[in-house]
Amino acid sequence: MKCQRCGKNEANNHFSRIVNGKKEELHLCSACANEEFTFLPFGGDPFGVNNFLSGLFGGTSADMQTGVQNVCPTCGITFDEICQKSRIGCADCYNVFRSRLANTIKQIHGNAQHTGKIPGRAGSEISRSRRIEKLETELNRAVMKQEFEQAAKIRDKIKELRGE
Amino acid sequence: MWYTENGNMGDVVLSTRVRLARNIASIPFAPRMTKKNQGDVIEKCRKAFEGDKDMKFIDISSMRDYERQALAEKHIISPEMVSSTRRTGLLLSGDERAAIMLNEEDHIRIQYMSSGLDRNCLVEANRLDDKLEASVDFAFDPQIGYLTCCPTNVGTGMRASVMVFLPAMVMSNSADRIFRSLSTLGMTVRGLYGEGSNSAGNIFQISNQVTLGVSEEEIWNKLEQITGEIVEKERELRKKLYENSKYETEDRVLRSLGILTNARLMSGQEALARLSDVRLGISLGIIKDVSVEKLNEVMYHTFPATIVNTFNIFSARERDLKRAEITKELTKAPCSDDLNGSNKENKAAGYAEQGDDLNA
Ligand SMILES: [Zn+2]
Ligand SMILES: [Zn+2]
Repeated sequence: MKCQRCGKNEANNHFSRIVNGKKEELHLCSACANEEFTFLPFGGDPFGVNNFLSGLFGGTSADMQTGVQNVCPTCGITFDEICQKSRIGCADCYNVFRSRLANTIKQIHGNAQHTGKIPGRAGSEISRSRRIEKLETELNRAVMKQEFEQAAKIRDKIKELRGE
Repeated sequence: MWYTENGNMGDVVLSTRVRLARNIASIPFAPRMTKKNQGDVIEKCRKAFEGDKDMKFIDISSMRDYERQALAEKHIISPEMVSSTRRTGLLLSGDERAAIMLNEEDHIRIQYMSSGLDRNCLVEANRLDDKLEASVDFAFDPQIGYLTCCPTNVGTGMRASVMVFLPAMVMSNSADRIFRSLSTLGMTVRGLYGEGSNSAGNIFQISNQVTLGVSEEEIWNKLEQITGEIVEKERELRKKLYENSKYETEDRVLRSLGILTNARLMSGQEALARLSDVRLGISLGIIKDVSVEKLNEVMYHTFPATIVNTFNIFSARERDLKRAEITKELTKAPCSDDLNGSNKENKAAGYAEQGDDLNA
């Protein structure tokens, strides 16, 4: 395939994204891809090749399987309907179809874990466990580096958060 | 009003908007909603703002289509809401900066808007969110974040956007290339009044594409940084344009001002294009007797549904005649009551007091 910008070189950089449900593709040679990126201060390619989407829910209805929940018991929507409309039926759908939606969500966002705001009431438990998780990573790092004094301090904090 | 003010980096950035998508945990999402569910969403959200005298409720479903369209022309509601058959509502603050759309695609779309590049939109949208959350249980998942009707909005549910004026980028044929590079950086660019770089008026909206796995702050910081780059580039190109073709630029800008203030019939498309030239002329210092605020007032008043809504004029030809009268105001003294029309009774209850204020 030829580069869409210069029309001369072979395109070896491929970009794709969905804008308003329509797929847009961009195929560039290395020289042109470099030029495209020099305008802004972000090197690399955060949303390029790895985010190659084949449509929001493309192909997922083939997943209709026996022995798998195909209807949301809360709102009654089928997984097939979700695929057709690219719309979710209710909050519980995200749980019922979690594993099958995970791939789509990962494709759209390039991420799978929420790191933003947490609603206060529902979230006090979540933010506590998030803090514990973070401390546990710090603890591991401290142990690896043999900083035992620091590790003991972190262990105390975790105990305190757990209410032990 | 915010949409006519000249804000931070106002020569390029017309306005900022932060939007948060939220849904109520116990109510099915749009594809599975009953009329009763739709009513419940509206009731719960109205209750959350009970006692807040500044936030008025507007029943969008009961409005005429041109009245809805007039709100969309000021970006207070989305185009989707104009054509929605659901029971839709709006909670709107007195200064029209806070606008909470009810039963758009999601149950709740919190918006905060401001002129220029304004981080305060993030702060204020967050505050509105806290206020709703005090009495409404949002659909939320520790892993996926805020749960939305379309999975493209999960996580923060946040879209931060700026409306930017990029005439020099378009004239120098660099807009398409720059827009493509923005899209590879995870930003979406839309022509506000048309597709791609052919957008009439050279006004574009830039917003974040990804909403999951990034924090609200990170989304904002990235938009702010990219907008800063765009502003610099556009300013540089404008300077170059004026240096390289001084008389051609002056001719173009002044000719457009002349047409806007002398024509008898003015179509909406032509008005946008000519106003774009005048806006450029103001920023280059070629036009000194027209303020940006005045220009913005005139621009919003030339939009079709706003003319219908203000003057009760339904025929396209009569609208073109009226539009030419409106654009004449550009060089007149700051205030003219003529533009506000006399048929205020035509407006939806609750919105009439807000005024359609050309003098604000
Ligand atoms: Zn090339
Ligand atoms: Zn469901």
